[in-house]
Amino acid sequence: MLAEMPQVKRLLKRAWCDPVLIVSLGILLRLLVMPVAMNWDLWTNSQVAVKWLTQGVAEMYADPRVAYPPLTYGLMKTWFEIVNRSVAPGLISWLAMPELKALQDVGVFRYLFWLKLPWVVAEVLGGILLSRIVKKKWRSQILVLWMLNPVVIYTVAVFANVDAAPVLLILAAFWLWQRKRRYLSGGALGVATALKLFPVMLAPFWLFSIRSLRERFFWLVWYVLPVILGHLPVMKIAAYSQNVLGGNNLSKVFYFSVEVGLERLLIIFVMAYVFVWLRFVYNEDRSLNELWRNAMVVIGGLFILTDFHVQWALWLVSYVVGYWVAGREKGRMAVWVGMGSYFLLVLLLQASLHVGMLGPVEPTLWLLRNPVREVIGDDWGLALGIAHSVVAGSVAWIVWVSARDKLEVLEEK
Amino acid sequence: MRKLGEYQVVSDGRLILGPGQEVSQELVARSNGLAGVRLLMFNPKLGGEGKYKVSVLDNEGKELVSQTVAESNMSWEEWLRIDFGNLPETEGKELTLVIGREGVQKGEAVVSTLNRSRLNLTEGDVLRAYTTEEIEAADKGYAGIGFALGDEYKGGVMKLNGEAVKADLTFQIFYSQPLAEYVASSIQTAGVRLVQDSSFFGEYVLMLVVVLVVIGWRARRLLGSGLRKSKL
Repeated sequence: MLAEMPQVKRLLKRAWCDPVLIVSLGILLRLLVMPVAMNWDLWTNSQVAVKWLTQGVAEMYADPRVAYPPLTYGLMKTWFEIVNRSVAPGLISWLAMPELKALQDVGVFRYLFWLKLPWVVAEVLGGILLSRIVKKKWRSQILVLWMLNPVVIYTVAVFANVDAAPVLLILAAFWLWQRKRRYLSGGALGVATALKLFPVMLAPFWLFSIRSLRERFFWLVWYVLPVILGHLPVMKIAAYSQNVLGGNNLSKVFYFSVEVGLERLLIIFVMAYVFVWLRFVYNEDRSLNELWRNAMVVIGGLFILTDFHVQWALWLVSYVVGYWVAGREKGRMAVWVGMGSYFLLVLLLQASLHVGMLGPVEPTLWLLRNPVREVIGDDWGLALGIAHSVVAGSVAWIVWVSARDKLEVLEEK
Repeated sequence: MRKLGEYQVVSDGRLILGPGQEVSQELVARSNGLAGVRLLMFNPKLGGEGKYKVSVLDNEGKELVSQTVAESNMSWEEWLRIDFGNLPETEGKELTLVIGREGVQKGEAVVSTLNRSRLNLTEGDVLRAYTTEEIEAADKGYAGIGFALGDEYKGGVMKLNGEAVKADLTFQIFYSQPLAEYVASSIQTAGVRLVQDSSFFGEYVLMLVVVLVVIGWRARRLLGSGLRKSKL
């Protein structure tokens, strides 16, 4: 038996290097959780998207629950129409039901599966793409780290985070840049920004990676065009700027600030962002890896300096798995500690982010508010703060080591 | 563990639980161990001193259990949780949930008219008899309870002061269950619903089988080539 152990180990090692096996295992895990987990964001945003179908885009953006740019809702609406007419008839009427009724509906598993499918496909493609842009020696390892990653599975297959699409497009922008298709890369980043606004933070870095003014201009055109086209349906809708541009996410980014005078704030994230960007602009290094590291600093900065949403973790995963393979001995403990406290943070938050998502299996769970808070009592706030701070500290370490040691994750061509 | 039983969650409006107003809902308990109820309350007097009695009666009108709830514990458009402990042997029994303002009070005609009007039990503009101030005082003077017009809950009728109406209370009933039974029954019910959607169940199982076959094929290939190499 013991003599066989090295052989088993060798086989396991070879299994990790088989991309078909790894992707299939990842798909199996996703298939198992997709139909049984419902999330509040998925429910409300799907209802909002249906409003576009039934009442028009202006009415949709008047809904205070609205959170995404029109391209995302447009894609959702189109997908709903397709599946409602084919594989999930009754989806639109199901979305109009009271939640408890919807959770106990016979079709709940079907509807959840089809609602989540586009985002899961985007996420799986993102993992495959990431494994294509990293250095060849790390491809299999990256694929394992993505496909079997609990954070990725939680944020997309369980949570149905629509950010899977912009994350895929950001990775596509890196992939195209790697292949010297710079304008197309700008286009991909533009579509990502049209889907969700956070990729706009990366655009100035991409723009100043280009030395020629002429090329910079054309890159900007390629970037801005999809953003403008994607926003055409909302150009005259004032509620869009109130509910989406000035919404909850932006206030999270601006919250950490210091009063430096009467009616004057120093917004810490903005100051740090400008500092990092200026450092990038005046740095001679314009390599793909430098762009990657700066994207990591910016996205990581959100986890250090803001009251981040747990679903934002998907934005950071590609950089963290890159750090895992390229950093090797430089502190994998930070990843374990960060991931552990991330899930602790999730558990400390409202039940709708963890056990409540099992509402389709047991609707009572959907009604729970915050069971952990009820148990912990007054110390809940402190526990939440500690879990948040440990995540922030771990991300700070990962970002700092990656920048300090100039970790080379991507294949330079 | 508390498990959700019967419920009716549609809310088309609120009935004012003013003096002399009593709202009841008949229901059939699906399990033993009735543990509590949640009611959708609308309290315009946050921190008020009024008290409301919630009770459960059997089919003979005998009170099985009751709780008094202070106005100060109610919010606006929030579920109010009332725990009854654990009522044994409730399965299949016809029960009545009753809520009303506690104490002996003189009924207010304006409150009664408002409630009847909201339940479409009046004809014409009956509220014309009252001033706006009187209506507002009645509306904001007492806690309200959510209800749905029509027959949203098929298990029993709603009554206003003993009169059956075409409406149902907005409520959720909870039962107490041991953890193992809770988990087993949840999985069983979910499984039944999954199988009931037979076409999706078939598609889903097929997808799982395809992925498992691919995994098996790759694993076997790896195992085969591994063994060949070790023999060499």
